[in-house]
Amino acid sequence: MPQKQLTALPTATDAADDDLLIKRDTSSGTDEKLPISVLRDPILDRANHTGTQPLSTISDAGTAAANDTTDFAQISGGSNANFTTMPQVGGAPIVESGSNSDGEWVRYADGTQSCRGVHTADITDINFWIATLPLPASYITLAGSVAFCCVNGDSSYWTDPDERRAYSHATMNSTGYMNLGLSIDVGSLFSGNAAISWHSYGKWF
Amino acid sequence: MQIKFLATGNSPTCYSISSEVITAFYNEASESFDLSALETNGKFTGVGVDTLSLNSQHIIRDAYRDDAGELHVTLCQAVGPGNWGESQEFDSSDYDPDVIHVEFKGAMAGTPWALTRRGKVNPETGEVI
Repeated sequence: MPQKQLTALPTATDAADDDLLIKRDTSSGTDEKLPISVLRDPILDRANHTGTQPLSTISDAGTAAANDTTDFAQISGGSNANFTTMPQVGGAPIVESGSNSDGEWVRYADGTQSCRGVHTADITDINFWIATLPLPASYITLAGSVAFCCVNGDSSYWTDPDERRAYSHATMNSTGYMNLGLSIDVGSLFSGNAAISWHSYGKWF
Repeated sequence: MQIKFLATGNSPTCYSISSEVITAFYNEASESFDLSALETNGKFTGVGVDTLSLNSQHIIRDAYRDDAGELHVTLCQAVGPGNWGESQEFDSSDYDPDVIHVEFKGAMAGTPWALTRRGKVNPETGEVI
């Protein structure tokens, strides 16, 4: 179709699904009809984030994934999720952890903290044991929880309650301390050390 | 006097040691603890804390006097993130309030530090954080 005839046509302002365009192969000079949806539908998918698209068009996360950097978490995990520095929330690290002479601790950016440790207690020939132990990291409030158990020693203490019976209690003492107590009211007394495994949970801010 | 340090969650900022009296400094306050009364084979039951806003177990954790009459004291040095262990025992004349005495065993999540008179010191860089 000559150029001068195209410019002479009226200008269309909309299109219907069944409208056709003329496609001319300039090398061969052949003409073909082209349904308008062939051009329109991919453009709509890109605009509406529908259909099948390249990842980089969906969001910035996709751009990061395409860049193959280690500063962005990826669902695939593995080495791609290896942060080079601890991510922060509001200027505070997402998580901090430590291990010191009094036990181990983990702090999260949302204020949650948990601690754990093992304390060796000599409970030879006693009916009652109580200790105030320092925590490896302080809490901001006493409104936390502490629990403990004996992880070794005379197993009959814990497996034969009719023969020997023991009660334990644990509380937060102050924000940096906890009280652990053990009372034994039935049966013969224990001789030796017991490993007291404890765990606490609360808030650090 | 022989001293060693435990790595703990809280502690005085630093100490000064004179004869068998240990003075702890914390939040611009100080308090002295005279351990001279501790006898050989005597049992250490803790120190009474009147001034510092610290529990006694975060200041002087333990003490004993050996058969030769020398005092051995376990003190505390506060640490942050990281894997920390206690120091070796050393003569109190070698105590330096500006250095990290507890053992740094490796990093965990977060920036490691230990409390000295200079402040919170990163054991990997030696810088105050």
